[in-house]
Amino acid sequence: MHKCLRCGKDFEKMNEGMFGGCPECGSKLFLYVREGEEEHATELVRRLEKKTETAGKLPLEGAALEGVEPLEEAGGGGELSSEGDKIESLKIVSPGVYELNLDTLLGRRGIIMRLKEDGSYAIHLPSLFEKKEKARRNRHTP
Amino acid sequence: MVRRRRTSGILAWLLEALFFKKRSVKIGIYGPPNAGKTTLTNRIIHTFADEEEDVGTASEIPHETRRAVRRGGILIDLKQNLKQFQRTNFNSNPQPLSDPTRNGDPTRNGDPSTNPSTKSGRKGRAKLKLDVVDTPGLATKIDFHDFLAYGLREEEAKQRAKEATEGVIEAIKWLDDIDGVILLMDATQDPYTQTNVVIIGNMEARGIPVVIAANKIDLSSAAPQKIKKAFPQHFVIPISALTGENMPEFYAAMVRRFR
Ligand SMILES: Nc1nc2c(ncn2[C@@H]2O[C@H](COP(=O)(O)OP(=O)(O)OP(=O)(O)O)[C@@H](O)[C@H]2O)c(=O)[nH]1
Ligand SMILES: [Mg+2]
Repeated sequence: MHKCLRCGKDFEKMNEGMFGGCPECGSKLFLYVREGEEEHATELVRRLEKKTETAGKLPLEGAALEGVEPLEEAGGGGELSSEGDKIESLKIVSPGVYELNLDTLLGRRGIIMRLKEDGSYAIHLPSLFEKKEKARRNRHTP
Repeated sequence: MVRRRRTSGILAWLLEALFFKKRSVKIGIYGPPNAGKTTLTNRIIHTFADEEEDVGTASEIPHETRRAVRRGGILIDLKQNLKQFQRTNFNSNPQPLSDPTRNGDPTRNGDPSTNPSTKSGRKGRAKLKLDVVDTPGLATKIDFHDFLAYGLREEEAKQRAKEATEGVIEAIKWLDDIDGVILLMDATQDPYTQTNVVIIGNMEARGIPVVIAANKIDLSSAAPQKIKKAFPQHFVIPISALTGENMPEFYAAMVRRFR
């Protein structure tokens, strides 16, 4: 989905008519928002952060467990990654301090998150990056 | 009035049908924070689309761009825009670089914009229709403490760190929609960073064509040859997004690599 930066109108797809600008207001600047997923990424970071903030006050275990449920929901049926698959793509070390594993993020294994250094759980958001792989492959093979 | 507008609409349509048959390619401008991505994107837009329009704000504070922004409808026409280059690049050094990147380097034949048909047997090949996407800087660690030095309050700094993190994720998601990548590096910095290496490796794996731009060559500490050495299998074009130095060669490389 593409969102016009000036008038805020959403467009399912870019089409020829939009090369000249937004059909509504003529602006040529668009934000890219993939359906639902945009919210997921933002939501996840926000929620995780909230949990991290409170984690200092709560016993760690409790905080971690509390964090799991809503996040799992946000993943839209996402599975918890298996023990062997715990390479988190995003880690919130402390409020305002983030570590990103570009390799796993780019590798489209989904967003895997871990709260706190103890690594008590990981969240796996599958399929975020899996689409279009085939289409691209085909397009670029000579 | 209405009539004239309709006529020009048809004209525009005809022109489009005649010359822009190819869909435009989406080019993402990627790189670490502060490399000059927004500065470069704005320059491309100023040169080829609208002198007044900015896609975003450039800033010395890292992670200034935290949402990916796309600008559509840019037409690079090497022949047409030659005059414009010369006008825009008043600061630039007109000498072609004496250090060709590699075999097949687009700079090999001197300034390609003066001779766009050299490599292209047929008409129209010196043109590229594109959308550019200015993306948030990619990083492996984002720490709000780094922003405090720029005078941000702690709250602001934490908010910026969070948005920057979301920005990285967004930038990566955009890749699924992108046909080519301009990987921008700050030539005054060491190119062997995890970020650069991971991006390049991933682009290669995905089969997305890449042009590397070694930016900030106006600074005396810039060492674009280090970037060439680090990534010998790629086009590396030294540029200054700020002063416009060497931009014709960069545009020629884009047309060559992305069309
Ligand atoms: N000397 C010099 N400075 C440059 C050049 N290009 C960009 N800058 C400066 O570098 C700083 C960062 O530029 P931006 O364009 O904001 O960089 P960015 O890659 O968009 O950064 P983020 O959005 O934070 O990821 C600004 O102060 C620019 O003025 C250049 O070619 N030469
Ligand atoms: Mg920027």
